[in-house]
Amino acid sequence: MKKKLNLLCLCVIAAFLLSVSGNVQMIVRIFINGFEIGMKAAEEGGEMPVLPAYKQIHTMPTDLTEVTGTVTNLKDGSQLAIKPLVSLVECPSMPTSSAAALWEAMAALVVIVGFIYTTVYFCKLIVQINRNIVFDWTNVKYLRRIGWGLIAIFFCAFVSVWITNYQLSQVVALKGTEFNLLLAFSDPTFILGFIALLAAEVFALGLRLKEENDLTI
Amino acid sequence: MPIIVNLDVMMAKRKISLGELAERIDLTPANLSILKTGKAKAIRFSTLGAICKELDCQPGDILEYRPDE
Repeated sequence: MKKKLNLLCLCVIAAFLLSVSGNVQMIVRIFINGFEIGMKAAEEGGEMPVLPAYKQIHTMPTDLTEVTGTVTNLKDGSQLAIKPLVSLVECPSMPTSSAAALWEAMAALVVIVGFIYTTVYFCKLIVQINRNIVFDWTNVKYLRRIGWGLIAIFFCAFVSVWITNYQLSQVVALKGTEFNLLLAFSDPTFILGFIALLAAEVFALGLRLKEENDLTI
Repeated sequence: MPIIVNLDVMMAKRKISLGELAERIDLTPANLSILKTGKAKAIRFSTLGAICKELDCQPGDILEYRPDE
């Protein structure tokens, strides 16, 4: 049983690493790119170029006949239309309210702390189960914390997306699409949080049954 | 809980100790103590039958219904 459980845990960790690998790769590439631009500017002795700030937006196609953007057909060189759902767009300079800036900073912090928090409690849960402490109120507590942690992560990320989408919708437009927040719900942390809470309640029910069984003489 | 366990009364009447009764009905003293102190949530018919046999009494002598006030 433990072999199967540990194998599943490895799968969860692998799936988690794969799910964040795209973002990590993007951050590393942007960092390297910025570093190279900075190095080049320093070597040439010129002024440091101002790098554009990019923000993520969620858009939904509204008119398929309008050309939002194009990709090149490598066979004949023709241009084919694209309809982006999640895109990184250059953020124009715009007045940002201090409350929104503070919220974005806080949300980013909560997301990082939340991921560490849920990972720690996930590891604690696995250690408990490996010690043969399965039906225990501590495990229910850990599962509830994992669930609420994941939901908090989603909530902070969602509000950040909402603020960014709202701010950018005031200053930029993508032809044939509209800003849409529904795609932000595809974040797996949202459903995983509720699944963890559901698992906690199933554990709690099992525990109550076990306690009743233990007190049946 | 409105069910009262009067096992201690019956044991006193029969002048039998907890350890002795536990041994006779093949139950651990810890479990019999849970039953005696009223902490148990349920009792199996087999346990109740064994207790009645050893104490020579009826289930009603051990269990009593007293509505909550």
